[in-house]
Order: sequence, then C-alpha cells, then structure tokens
Amino acid sequence: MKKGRSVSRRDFMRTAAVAGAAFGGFTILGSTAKGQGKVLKVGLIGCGGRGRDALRQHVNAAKILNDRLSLGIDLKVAGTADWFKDRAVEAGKAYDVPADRCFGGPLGYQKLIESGVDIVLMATAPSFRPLHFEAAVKAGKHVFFEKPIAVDPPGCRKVIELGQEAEKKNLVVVAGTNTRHTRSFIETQAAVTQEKALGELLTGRIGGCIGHMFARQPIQPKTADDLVRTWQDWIELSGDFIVEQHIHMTDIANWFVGRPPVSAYAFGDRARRKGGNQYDFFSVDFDYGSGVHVHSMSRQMNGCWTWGGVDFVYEKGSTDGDKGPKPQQSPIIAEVPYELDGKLLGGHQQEHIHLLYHLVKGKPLNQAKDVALGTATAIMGRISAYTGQRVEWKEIMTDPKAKPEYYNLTLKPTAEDFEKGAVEIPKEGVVPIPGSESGGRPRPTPKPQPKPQPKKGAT
Amino acid sequence: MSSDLKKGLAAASSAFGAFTILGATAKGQGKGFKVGLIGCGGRGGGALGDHMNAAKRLGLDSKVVAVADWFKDRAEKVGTDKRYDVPKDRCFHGPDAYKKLLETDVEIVLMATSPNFRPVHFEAAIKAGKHAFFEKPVCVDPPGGRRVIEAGELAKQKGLSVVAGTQRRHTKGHQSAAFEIHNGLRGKIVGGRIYWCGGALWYRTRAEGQSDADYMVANWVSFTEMSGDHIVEQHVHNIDIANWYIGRPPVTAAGFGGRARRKTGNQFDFHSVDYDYGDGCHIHSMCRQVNGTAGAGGEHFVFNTTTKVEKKDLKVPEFEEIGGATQQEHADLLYSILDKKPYLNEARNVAEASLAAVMGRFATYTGKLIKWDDMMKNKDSEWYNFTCKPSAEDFEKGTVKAPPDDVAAIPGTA
Repeated sequence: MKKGRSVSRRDFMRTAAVAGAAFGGFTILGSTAKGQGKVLKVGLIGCGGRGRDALRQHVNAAKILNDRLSLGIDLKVAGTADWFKDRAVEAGKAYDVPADRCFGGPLGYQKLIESGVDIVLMATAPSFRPLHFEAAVKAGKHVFFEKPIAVDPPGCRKVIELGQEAEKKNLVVVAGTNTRHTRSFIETQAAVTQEKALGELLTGRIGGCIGHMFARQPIQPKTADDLVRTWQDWIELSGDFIVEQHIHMTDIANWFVGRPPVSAYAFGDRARRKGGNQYDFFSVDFDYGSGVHVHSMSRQMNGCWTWGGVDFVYEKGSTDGDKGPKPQQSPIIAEVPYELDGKLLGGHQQEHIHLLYHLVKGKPLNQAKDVALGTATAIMGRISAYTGQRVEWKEIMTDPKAKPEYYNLTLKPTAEDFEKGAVEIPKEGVVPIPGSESGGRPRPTPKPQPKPQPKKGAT
Repeated sequence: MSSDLKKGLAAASSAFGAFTILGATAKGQGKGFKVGLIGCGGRGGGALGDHMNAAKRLGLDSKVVAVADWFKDRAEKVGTDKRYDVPKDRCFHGPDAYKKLLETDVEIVLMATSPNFRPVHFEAAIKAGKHAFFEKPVCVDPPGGRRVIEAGELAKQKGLSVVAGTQRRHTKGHQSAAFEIHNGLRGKIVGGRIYWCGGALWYRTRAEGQSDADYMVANWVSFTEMSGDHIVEQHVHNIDIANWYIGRPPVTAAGFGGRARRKTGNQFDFHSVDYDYGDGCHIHSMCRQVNGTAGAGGEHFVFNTTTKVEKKDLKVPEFEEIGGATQQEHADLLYSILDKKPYLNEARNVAEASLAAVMGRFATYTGKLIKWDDMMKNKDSEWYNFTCKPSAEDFEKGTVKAPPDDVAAIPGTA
C-alpha cells in the first residue's frame, strides 16, 4: 500500500511461496479465487458501535472488491464475541449467525478464535487488545484491530512482538488508524516524507480537540460489567482519551515524521468530567529529535476551541495532510477501489478493502508495529502529563533499566484480571496530580498595620 | 530608527530644557538624577540597587529622593537603607503613596509593585513628566495594556525615556540574536517553543484580622487580579522574546491550563498555549510552577534556513552588557535620557508581551480561542473590556473584596 514498505516483486513471490507452503487454507483460497467463490470466514470480538460498524464495513469491502475486481470473495460472518452475550447475539443477528456462535463472557474471544474463522476483527476496549491479538496470531488468524492497541508500555511491546510473529506467518494485520488508509493522506505522506516534495520537515502541530464525550454523571461502578460497559471513561480500559482517541493524530505524526518521538513534555488536567477517572485535556511537546518538535493538543470538553487535524511545516510550505502535495510516484495501487459512485469511500471503509485485497492477493500488509508505536507515543504523553516529568521513549519502550516504573507500568485491572474475575474497581474522579505535594515556600505573613487615612476629597 | 522615534527625539530636545541641561552637566560635573522607587519589595529593592550601580558606572551622582510602598515598613526598610538615606517623610506608604512620590522633584521613577497597579502608576508618572523604569509585566488585563501603550505614546511626545524590566532585551546574546534575525541572517522563524517551567513560588496565608487589600498585596503572586497569573507575571519574559524576534504580537491563542498544587489565591499552576503568530508560524508556550516536575526554560525557535540571507558586509554590533542584564537595562535607560544612545521607549513592547500573555491566560482559563483583535480593536468584545477586579482603582478607593482562596477558573462549560 505504502511505497516505503512495499515489497519487491521477488519478495512478493517468495512471500506467496512461504504462504502457500505454510497455509493450506490460504493457498486454496488463492487458487480457487480465479474460478469460483472463495470462502472467507470472519468473526468479530467486541460488538459495540465501533465493532458492528467495522463488521459492516468489512462485509461491504468484500462486496466492493467483488464488484470492481471480480475477486469472488465469499465472505461469511461466522461468529461474534462480546463480554456481554446479548450484545454478541444482537450483532450476529444481522448476518444470521447462529446463537451458539455468538460468544459471551471473559473467554468469548477464545471460543470465537477457536471456531474456525479466518479473519478476526477486534473492537473491544483497548486494554484487552494485546491478549486478544496474541490469541489470534498464535491461532494464525488475519486481523483487523481497532486503535489503540494497548493502554500501557508492556502492552505496546507485546503487540510489536506479535506483529513480527504475524509477519512470519504471512498474516495480514490492519489497524483502525484509518487515516493511513485515506488516499489523500497516503499520497501526501509519500510526497512529503519519501519524495521530500516540500523539503525538510521543520515543525508541526496535531489537534484532537472536541466536545465532551461519554459519561455525563458519576458512573459508580460496582462490578467488572459496569467497567466494561463504560470503558471509555476509565484509563485502565481506554488508556485515557489521549490514547483512545488522539492516537489517530500521534500515529499521523509518527508517519509523517518517519519515526516515533524521543521524549514527551506534557501538561494535562481533569476539569469538567463527572464520570470515570480520565483527564479532560492534554497538551504535549513531542520531541522527535533532530530539532523537530510537534505540539500535540487534545481535549474533550464543551464550550472550548475545537480543532481536529494536523499541520506540518516544511522548508517549502506546510500541509494538512489532506490537500497535498501529490507525489511523483503514487503509492496507491491502481486497481484498489477508493471511490464508489464518484464518492470517496473514506478510511473506515478503505481499511477493510485494503485488508481483504492484500489477503486475497497474497500481498503483505502488517500495521501492528505502526499502531503500537502510535499508541506508545500517546501513552508517553499521558505519563508525562500525569507526572509532570519529561518521559523518554527509551524509558517506556527500549531500555528496561532506565525507568522500570514506566517500562513495566501495567494498568490494573488488567485484561488478565478481567479473565480471572479479580477486578478491583478504580476510584472514580481520582486522577493523578503532577509534581509533588510540597506546594511553594510559605513566607511569614506581615502583621496588620494601620492604614493612613486618605485625604478628604481624594479619589 | 523609525521616523516616529526621530520625531520624539526632536520634540524631546525642544520641549525639555532640563533634559538638555542635565545632559550637558552630566558629562562635565558628574551630576546625576533624582530617583524614586514605587514598590519596595525584593524586585524593587533590587532594581534600585541596579539603577544606582548603573548610574555610578556612567559617572552620575544620582540620588534616591523618595520611595513608596503599600506597606509602611517596606517603604522605610528600603528608604532608610544606608546607601540611600531617604528621610522618613519621603518614605510614602498607602494606596496613594505613588502620587505623593510623583509630586516630589523626582526625575526618574522605578516601578516594581504588583503589575495590576502598573498602568495607573505609569500613566501618572508620564503625565508628571518622569522618566520611567517599570518592571514587567505592565498590566493584568487588556484595558490596562492599552493604557500603557497610550501612556507610552505620550512619553514619546514628551521625550521621556521608558525602559521595562524585560531584561533579555538588554543582554548581549539576545540583542545579537535579534540583530541577526531581523537582518535575515538566520532565515525566517516558522515555529518554536518557549518555556518557563519550574518549581512553586512563595506564598503567604492571611493573617488574623488582615484586610482583604493588605492580604492581596502581601500575597500578590497568588492572585490573578494582582499578578495576571504566572503566565503573565513570569512567562512574559519568554513571550516578549517571541514577539521581539518574530517582529509582531500573536494573532490568536488557544490554551490548556490548570491548578494542581497551589494552596492560596486563584492562579493556575501551568499553562500550555499555542500562539498563532500568523503566516503559518506557531509558538508553543509552556509555563509551570509545580515542585517535583521536570523544569524547562528558554526560547527555542525553528528557522527555515533555506530563506537565510547572506550579508557579508554586515557586522553584528558590539552590544554592551555590564553587571548583568538587570543593571544594563538601567544603564540603557540613562544613556537614552542623556542622549548618549538613541531614544529608548519600551512601553509598547512590554505592553504587547504582557497582553499576549493575558491572551494566553484567557485561552487557558476559558478553553476558547482568543483573538488579539478582540482585546485590542473590537470594542464590543468581552475581552476588549475585560477588567480584573479588584482593580488598582479599587485599591485606591478602599473597595477591595478579595476573591476566595483556592477557587480557580474552570475552562469550558458543564
């Protein structure tokens, strides 16, 4: 898809050969494609709004590819899973999934993966993602997983490792960082980052400042169910909204700069929220090294300035990623459909088209590392805002000894705790306060003294 | 030098006999100026010392003739210092102490009260025909900032020299950098970061029976109405550099800030602001006063070096900096008064830096995007008329009601 990670023709052939040798199912799919319909079974883990949309877009992608490229994909929704069984059943209904293939409970995901699906879509709360991704990759499934893919540094590193394993297994892994699937951004990124159409990158800003989201009142959770139902409000499940939502922007920044940042220096606070334990805003100075800093702004509050987007400044001009410049050599694969009836399909639809296209064509596509780095970037900003410390990339990702408390930071309750039924309910409305308690140096208070009377008539 | 400045100079030499005579006598006989200080806290005492040292350096026999402070003991403590030996009846105190000081024969007035008083004091000083050194910041709200700019124009007409306590404008390093930047030698500024992030400052709790006014004056670094919040009070230094180097004040501010650890007053503990300077140039401003957090300081600009201009014949001048910037600023004030260097009037610079900081504070307190023009031009805007209460006038009239401690602004709406 993207020029920088596209594989030479010879690599393609080798990959395809490996795939053919290792995966009987895969090969059969490939060979049957030409003549007749090939069956692909897809399952969904996490049947909330985003999950159901992803499934619909996935099914739609198969249809678009069949209509436009005659790929003859016979896509079947083979199962669903959710913490809540009724949600799984409800999501399955639209596709006539039998109720016994709609799994509920903490281990529903395992049952779904074991049920003979080829592709797994994941859209649970992100705290579960590393565990679910692990199960899917070990079982040799192709994966679409929603962003973000973890809530803490160990989770991010785990996903990177699993992504490498997936690569070895020739599994297609697509992430829900949908801007990476948006044609205008793909082309602009190729033009400015690979072809240097605007010269060197000098500085930038990314914004995800919107209105209030989710709980309006205290949630007062008592059970694990309560937490799962309101996961967007709890840092232990969402990673806080800088991770949950703003990962889109940190990922774009990493993509355009070409690397993750070296450090984060951040400010944030909880101002208005009544439910959960998240902050309301983050303002982060990401240092990308070589003098390039990106100011990341994210907020979920009503009545405030809003801005969503990116602004990267280069020697020869700036870009918002969408309006170009156009590359000399487009990384877009010409035959992949990006429009329907003259209208752009949009990133959310496109990501599933890319997944199925690469899968069926036997072309490698693996976004595990990208989305993990984008997630880790947001987590680094979060830790910095919570603590008031400058947090370095190596401290969370590469050097176990530099700051073990960051490197090993594990938000509890973990996904494992949910599976074990050992869930401790976080305290609502209690958030980290940066810095230390000692607040200033009190000075002796002067004694009250008589004030001279103002002259009569003086103003 | 701008034609405005030249005009100001011409007006100065014709309108002020005393000015010319002083200049002449100063060179020959080591005569000096009569100096007064309004605001006798730590910075005020420091500024006075710096001023007198600078005067000595220039061969002037200046004399401190009056001091003024809200508190009697403060005024007398500085005034009766052996170096100055000001008679007690010239150590004024109380809300109108500054007026009494300005009624004396003082020629140069140094101002270092809390910044909310500055517009009133500065305007009075200029109207009374005094040269002025005034500490930064010079206002806490837009009407105050505009008042300083107007008084600065009046000073120009009257040929009065004005220097502000944004002392980075008087360091060799910053002046050389500004010279290079303004001549295009480094290329265009396309972005940057400015930081003043450190630990918590001092604070005072209210004494038993202490009046609201006394408490606020004593604990002024904790109250937005007095200090403008630390983005204004302290970070103005860095914002002034950004304005100076870029060559204009910002167009808008969008900001993020909060109160985390403070115990008294109503200020925020941190501000992180996106200043849009127009033409695609944004500056990320960061300031914090919280113990146990990572510190950061200074100004870091991003230059588009591909736009650099080569001027081989252009030499960066040798800028003077003796005794540190806080002494040099007084030397530069005296040079200007003595006509030994071009006329100096920093009122607009420091007012615009203070106003930019106020704009950032509005942005962090409300969460809104704040426009410069709404503070400076659009008379119907709430920001144009925004006045911190209690105001300096309230302190003079004795109508001060202190805002509650530990109740800070909350951005956004419920």
